[in-house]
Amino acid sequence: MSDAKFFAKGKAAELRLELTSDKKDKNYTRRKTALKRIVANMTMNNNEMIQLFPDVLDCIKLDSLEIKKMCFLYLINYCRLKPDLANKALPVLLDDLRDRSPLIRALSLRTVSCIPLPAFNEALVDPLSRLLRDPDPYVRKTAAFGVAKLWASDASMVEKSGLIEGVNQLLVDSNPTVVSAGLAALTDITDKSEGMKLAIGYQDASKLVQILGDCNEWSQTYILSALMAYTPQDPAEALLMAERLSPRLQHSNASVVLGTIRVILYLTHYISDDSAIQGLVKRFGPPLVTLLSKPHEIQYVALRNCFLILQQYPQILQNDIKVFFCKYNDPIYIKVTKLEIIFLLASEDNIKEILRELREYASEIDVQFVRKAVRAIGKLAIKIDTAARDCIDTLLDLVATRVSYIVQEATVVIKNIFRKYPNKYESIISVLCKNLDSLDEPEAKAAMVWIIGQYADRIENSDELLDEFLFTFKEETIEVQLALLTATVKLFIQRPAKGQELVLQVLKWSTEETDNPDLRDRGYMYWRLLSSSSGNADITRQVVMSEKPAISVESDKLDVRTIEELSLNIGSLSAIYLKPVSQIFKGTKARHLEQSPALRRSDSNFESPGFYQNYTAANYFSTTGGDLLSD
Amino acid sequence: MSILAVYITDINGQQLFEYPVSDSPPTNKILQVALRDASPEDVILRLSSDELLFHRKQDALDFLIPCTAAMPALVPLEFISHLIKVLHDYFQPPLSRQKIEKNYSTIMMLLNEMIEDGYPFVTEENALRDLVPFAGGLSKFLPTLPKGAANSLKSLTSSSSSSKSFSSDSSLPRSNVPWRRSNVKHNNNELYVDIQETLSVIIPALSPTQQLLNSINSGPNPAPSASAFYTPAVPQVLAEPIVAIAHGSVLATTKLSGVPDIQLILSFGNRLLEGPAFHPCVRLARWRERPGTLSFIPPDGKCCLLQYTISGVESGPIGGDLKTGLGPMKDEFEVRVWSRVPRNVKFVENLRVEVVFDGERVQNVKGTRASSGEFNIEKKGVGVWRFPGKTPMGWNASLRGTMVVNEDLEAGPDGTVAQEFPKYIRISYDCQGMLVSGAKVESLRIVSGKGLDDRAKPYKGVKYLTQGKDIVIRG
Repeated sequence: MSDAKFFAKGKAAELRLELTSDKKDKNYTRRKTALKRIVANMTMNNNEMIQLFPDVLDCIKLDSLEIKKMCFLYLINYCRLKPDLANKALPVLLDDLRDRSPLIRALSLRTVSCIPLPAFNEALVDPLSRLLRDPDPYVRKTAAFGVAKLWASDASMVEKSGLIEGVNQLLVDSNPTVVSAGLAALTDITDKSEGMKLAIGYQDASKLVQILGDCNEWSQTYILSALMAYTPQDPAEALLMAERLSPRLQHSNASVVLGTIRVILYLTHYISDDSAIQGLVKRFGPPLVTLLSKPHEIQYVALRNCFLILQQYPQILQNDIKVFFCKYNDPIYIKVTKLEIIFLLASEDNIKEILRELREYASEIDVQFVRKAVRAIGKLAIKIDTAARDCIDTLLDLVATRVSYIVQEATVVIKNIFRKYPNKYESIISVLCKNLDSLDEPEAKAAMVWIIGQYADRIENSDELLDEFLFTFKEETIEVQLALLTATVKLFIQRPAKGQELVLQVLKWSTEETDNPDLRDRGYMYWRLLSSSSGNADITRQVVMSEKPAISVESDKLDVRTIEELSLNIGSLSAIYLKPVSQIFKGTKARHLEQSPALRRSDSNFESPGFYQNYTAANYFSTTGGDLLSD
Repeated sequence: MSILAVYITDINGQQLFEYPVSDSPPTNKILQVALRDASPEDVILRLSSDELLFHRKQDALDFLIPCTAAMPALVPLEFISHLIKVLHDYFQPPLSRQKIEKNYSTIMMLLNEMIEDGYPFVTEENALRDLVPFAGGLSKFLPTLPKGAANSLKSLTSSSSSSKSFSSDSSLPRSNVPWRRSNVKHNNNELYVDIQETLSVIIPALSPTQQLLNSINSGPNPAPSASAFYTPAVPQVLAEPIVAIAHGSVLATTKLSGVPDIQLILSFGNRLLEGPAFHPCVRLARWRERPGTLSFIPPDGKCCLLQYTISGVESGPIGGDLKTGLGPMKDEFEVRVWSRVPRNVKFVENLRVEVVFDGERVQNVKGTRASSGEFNIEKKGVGVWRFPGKTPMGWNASLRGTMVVNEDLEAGPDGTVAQEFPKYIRISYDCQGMLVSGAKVESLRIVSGKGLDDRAKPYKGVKYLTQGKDIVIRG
């Protein structure tokens, strides 16, 4: 240990020598090299280089931009640890704010505004108001960001200083980059501020859209974010704005594309002409498809957002479903999202093609994905009535593979199909009964037990089958035990002679030999029901075999308000979690639609054709290993 | 919304570079813990209730960017892409541990320009070259640099040695071409165009009827199917691709002095270009007036003018299929690949066929016989059949073998363990000289070249490249 320490000290000492030596140093080459090594060794966890603070400060005055840059990086890195020493650098930095070179003015301005020390903050106020009007645009844009940074350190000082007014002036600057920097600074401040709010009028918004094309991609994303602060007062105005924005959909930067989609979706809330809205959203399709050629991480975010957009407007990619077909070598997170989109876009027209494709996924190697594919087939049977038969045939085809996890998934979804379509497909029960041995997962067991109990009168040997499951009753999970209890009672009600013995046994176990309160309660309930109504079997039947509420994928819909808020957050993490950002992260302002004469009411939106299919599920939420497509 | 820091680590998570942006960003140590606990599908990690981590691997390095939560998700991801591009531009791909360590301070200064107030700001290589000198460990890489880069290097380093020489420079371009460096000068004016398409195809398994037809028709030397490329002696049925998509990029490498204004006219036959995405330098209005026309003032060096997608293209110069249940024991599989007779190419390169099977169930592949090329199991569940160098057109090869099923597997309900076969094959290759979509350059014209010698004929031509990347054939 001591060795290492000595060595480290030696290193700092050696570098100091390099910096302070009187030897000739043409073009400061030696000092540059030393500073480079210092910068490379300067990490947050390595405070050894801090010993060199005074020596580095001495170099700041040297007439070399490169040296200045490195000294400034050093200063920013260590200023909080040595505030007294850092303060000594302030006069040089303030001097540099008046340098002839715009690069140096901007550089020192950026440095001073990055240093969160009171002396630096206070010293910056006066020069900042001058630099906001600097002749060089690079300095003006740096000044705009400087105000935002200064505000973050000391809001009240900045608000009193009139600097925010100064930034406001930049919005009419002749240089587009400066305009966007000013806008970015204001957005940054108003996002964090309690009292201030950004509001952009039509004239300003119109000008922003005009300069978009002259800005670099990041400035475009700023401006697109800021345009959400524009509230159209007139439908025609909103439509015009959306039309003028739509060329941005063809940008090569994916965040510009999604930012544009977000603003256009936002504007549609203020557009009255439905066919115009359809025309606008149709343009989203091709750019979204192009994003699928990007790196996987970008593809994933794009797909999640695509999923969210398609909730509202499935028609925009209804005919392009093939682009979402999975390749075996797609990462699982991409496959799963593609599967959700395929499910979302499934309709009577393309169901045959989709089933063929899902059947293919069900024979993949990745077990997790296979399971989701099987579930998706089952859910499609529930989503599209006319396709139920085809879906069931596909499922039976899969059950015939006798692969344990496929049989189990299929069993679970078939149970749901029985619930959705009572008395229609029960002929397939016999196929399931042949595969009871494959069931070893609680969910699948419970599903099968439910089927046996529900159809005890139609399954010839239902008592034997149940008896077999009951053999391991005590080892089962509570989920399976509850299912077994109910199924046995159902058997008894439908076939008293065959069920009598079993029901007594199960009731005894459930009431006397369990520690689980749920099981015990349910056991007692059945016990009392059966003994009190012994004279009237109909009542018992009505209670136990009562009609269940119909299930449908429709019941999984996100409500309109949530969809509305989510669509205002396109491009953010909302699409990944399917929750408004304000609910996921603290300190984030919720977005909502500002009132205006042009605003469409949400319920009228609900009736518009765009909203006719809002399938989603709470269980879509968990994309990370959660039980997607489950019930 | 802001970026909190930028870390670069090696693939083991060991920190090579750090650039803190905020006062106290999460340390790499914390990020590594979060990454270790994450599942592979966590593309974006939640570090806390208001912090996120975006990350991406590239060239055996891992780029980590912790951000505040309100960050639009694509901004940091696109930023990583740009950062990698810039580092490639400065230090040549592939990046390595050594390159990062050697150029630590340069990368630091680059990031200082690239991020402003926690948000990406300048990421154009051209703009950055004006701001951050191309020095440091550069001399070591100099020999591999293109001529133009070395020239621009000279002019930059000389100007950075003294503040006087740049005092007159305006650092933000006043003109409306922010992507182009000011005062570009080249001794040899050159302009190249490259169009590259990556082809993704999914071909389904043959239906039973199609298989039957094939078994009737196939002779001892099976020949590929009829297509635009080839008229075979023995007609054979092949499955139609479910998906055949070409993702294309039009790249320009310009080393032209002054401010050249260029018009490049492309033709895509009758095909529909889906979702074209343009470099900011391309004038969209011209494209809309006449689709296929790229009118632009290019940035100096390399840039991607246009990206596009075309679906429903042909399945490319290389075909393949997978048959299972062959041989006396019905336990053999056969993979075949063939090259079609070309319109205008003589060979493909780096042909590679991945044979994918269930690595849990299959222990080994025995009795492999390849008519040419070399087949090896390269990792669990993947065998690779390689054809190094060039593969001629109008050629074919086949590979036979039997999968040895893992003995530990439980027998199925009928008491036997099912024979395993490959699930997919995946073909990849490079094919110079053709584009699968049929796209081509119709003309290129330098409309005006302020500062460019009138006699200069800089346009050196166009190169086409089709990369078969994911040609997946399902078994």
